Amino acid sequence: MKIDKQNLKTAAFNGLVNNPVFVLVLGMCPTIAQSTTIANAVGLGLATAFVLVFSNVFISLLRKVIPDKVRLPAYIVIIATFVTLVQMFITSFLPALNESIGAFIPLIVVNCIILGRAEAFASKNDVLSSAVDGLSMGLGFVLSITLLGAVRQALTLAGLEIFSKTAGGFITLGLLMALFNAGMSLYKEMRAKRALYKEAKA
Amino acid sequence: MTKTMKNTLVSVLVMAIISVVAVGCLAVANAFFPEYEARLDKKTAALINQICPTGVSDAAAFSDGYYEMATVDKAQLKSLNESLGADKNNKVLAIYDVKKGDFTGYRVVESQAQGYGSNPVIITLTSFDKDNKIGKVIVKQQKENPTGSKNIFTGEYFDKFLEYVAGQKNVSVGDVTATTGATNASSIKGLVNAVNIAASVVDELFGATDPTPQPVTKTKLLNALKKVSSSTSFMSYPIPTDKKKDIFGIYKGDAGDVLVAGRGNGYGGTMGLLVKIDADGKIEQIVIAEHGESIADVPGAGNAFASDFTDEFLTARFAGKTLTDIQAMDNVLNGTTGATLQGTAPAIKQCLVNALGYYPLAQQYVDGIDAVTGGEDA
Repeated sequence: MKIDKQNLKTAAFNGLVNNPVFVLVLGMCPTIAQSTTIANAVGLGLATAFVLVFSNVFISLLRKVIPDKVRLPAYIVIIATFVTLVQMFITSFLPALNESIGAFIPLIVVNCIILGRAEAFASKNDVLSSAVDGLSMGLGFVLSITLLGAVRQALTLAGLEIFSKTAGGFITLGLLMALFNAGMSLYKEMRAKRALYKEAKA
Repeated sequence: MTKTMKNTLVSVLVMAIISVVAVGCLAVANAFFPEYEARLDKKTAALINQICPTGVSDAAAFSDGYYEMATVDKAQLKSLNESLGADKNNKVLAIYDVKKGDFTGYRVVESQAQGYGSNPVIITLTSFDKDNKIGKVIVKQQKENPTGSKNIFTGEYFDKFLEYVAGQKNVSVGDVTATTGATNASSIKGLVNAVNIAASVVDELFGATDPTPQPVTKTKLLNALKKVSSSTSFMSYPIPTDKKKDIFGIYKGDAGDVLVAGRGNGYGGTMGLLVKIDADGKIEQIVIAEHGESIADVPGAGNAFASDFTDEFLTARFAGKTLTDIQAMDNVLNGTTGATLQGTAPAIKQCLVNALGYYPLAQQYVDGIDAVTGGEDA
């Protein structure tokens, strides 16, 4: 099997470069609603990441079988299967987590990150890159929602009640998004400069 | 075959295969995940702290061993649930013992029953004192969405409910509705079922070994008994363990007559029919002791049934029938309303068959207990 290294590399860095929360701004509902504490954020993030990886793999495997016209329903069925698995696992083994984020688990089915990756990546790429993309995107989501959760929990503990509310979630998200994008563009600028410098030297 | 048709067929086929495989995978996975198991977690401890107050904080009550999960064999609990006619949605989940504090020796039973709404499971915690009488009830989970405003789970209605259940060993939908004035019937039924199954299991597991007949005090039951008997006061006899599923009650009036109420599982929970049987083993009269069939719940019943499900209707329909007659009837209500009345009709049959079948033994059983307890006079 021929492995497309360039594709794999792109996929691996997708979670950072195209961070689902800070860059693509996808899946905002669970992100805002469940990032009140670190535990909730990690729980929901991992659940989403699990579904993302496996749905990506299976959609990529079946990409040639699924007719174009019914691809979205087919994707939803596949995604829903994994979401149900996650839900069964959480209700059985993690009752405390189920108490706090239970309502948001079934909503993973319609999380735009997952459907977005299925449509934009898994349906066009081989299994390996799709798996890597799912993992990278999943981790990107886990990290960003955890960061959001950590900041909000810390600020709430510091006495700023508003950060446990939705409004606080939006404020934190906005600020973190600005920081992240500023950092990213600074990095890109530096890289461009370095490339120019190298060119001039050569 | 046109190309469009072929494409459509392929699409349908692929979707069907994916769906079937997905459902199959989930079904297999489901077998590996354990069912919901009640456990003594922080939330449960906090709730128990409300019905059996320890005087300490919820966190301390949880961590300092005030409560303990009773060591009831899971298989034993399961078979108990089954023998009491419990099903997937109506069962006892766990029993907790109170180990320290003012309520030492109390038991708290977590049980669930089917209510009404998007997630129809009502889970309650019921406390029982040392005599297995109900202390208090607290609702752990309910997602009922009543349309009316008189919701049993809210404020004054629930307070009245607590007032009524305290000291009881068994509660009835009719009494709860009458005393509280709440109107969400399906939810009341769920709540009552959850409490009753908890009470039955406690009675079964920890009940007194000395079977003493108790006087019948509940107005509704007393009225039902007076309807079939010339006696004015009645003693209720403990039901033999192996008969709990079949028999609703065994009663003896002060005139010395023995009465049996058969038990059945209706569409709306337990149904109990008092059956008066003559010397030839034929049904003489039927009186409804307990039923949860709200007419709206009975599919296809319509309003005709509302006026039909009465003592008079049942008596007129079944009077003169023997055990064999009833057993031979396929659908005991067929032809009365044109409705199948799934659930209700089989329950009526169950009640009648059970009552008729047990009646010959009842006199003997009552005499046997009287000989032991010396309680010849009711």
